[in-house]
Amino acid sequence: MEFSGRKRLDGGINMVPLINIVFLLLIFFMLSSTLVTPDSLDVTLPESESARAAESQPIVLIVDSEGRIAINNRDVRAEEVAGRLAGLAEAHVGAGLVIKADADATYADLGTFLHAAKGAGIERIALATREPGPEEPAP
Amino acid sequence: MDFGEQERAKPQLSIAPLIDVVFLLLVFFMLAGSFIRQTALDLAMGQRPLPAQATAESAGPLLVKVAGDGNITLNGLVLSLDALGSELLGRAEGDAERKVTLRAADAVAVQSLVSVMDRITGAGFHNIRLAPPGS
Repeated sequence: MEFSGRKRLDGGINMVPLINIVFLLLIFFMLSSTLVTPDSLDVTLPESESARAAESQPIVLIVDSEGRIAINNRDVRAEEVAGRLAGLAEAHVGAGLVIKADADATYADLGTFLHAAKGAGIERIALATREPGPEEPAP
Repeated sequence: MDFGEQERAKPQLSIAPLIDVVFLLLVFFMLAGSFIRQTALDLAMGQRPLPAQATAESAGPLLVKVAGDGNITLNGLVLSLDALGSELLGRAEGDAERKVTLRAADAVAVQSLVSVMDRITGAGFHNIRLAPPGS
């Protein structure tokens, strides 16, 4: 029997469709996912049903359940917060502030910073929340 | 001249390194990317001296107070969290633009505050002012 036809296909698997799919997946992951920088403090965000999708802001203030504070992932003492916020507000004109407060933190822990932010000229302040669910989403 | 040799060495693009790099990028973006949708509540801060009419009834602004022990009052009326939602829903009708001032005690946990804000926005009010702590 003559199998010349098959012998010619012996060169290997056709890679072109594979590359097409891999490129497609690559572009999908590049466009649809966001690269996140892990937070320096461990916080469990409060659950909220009415919160809206948030855009990321250049200034992020984190308050954990023990009242420790970090601004843009750098630990800050409470008395330095107003100064740091004022400096950042000057560097990013018109920027908003995102507060990531632990659900167990108290209003006293973050309320003063809300005022400090307003004093620094930051108009848009958002409190980061998570969608209600039985478990904490992966960080 | 014989160009047979050259013709046989016709350059064929080697795609193996390309696939290697693309796979590497694919794995990187799959592992480093995150699909978690970020959500947030907008906060608006009130003035430090709270307007005197904040406690007034009906037409005036609504005042929701959250005490340190978790008690919730709406213009002096003690309510549970669910009752607050339905009470506000009744008052929202016709006047959703009404200003709601939320005054929380210092010891109130952020989660309770967010839950109360959820009920207020759930009732249709979007003009929430958060009174500064200690006021």
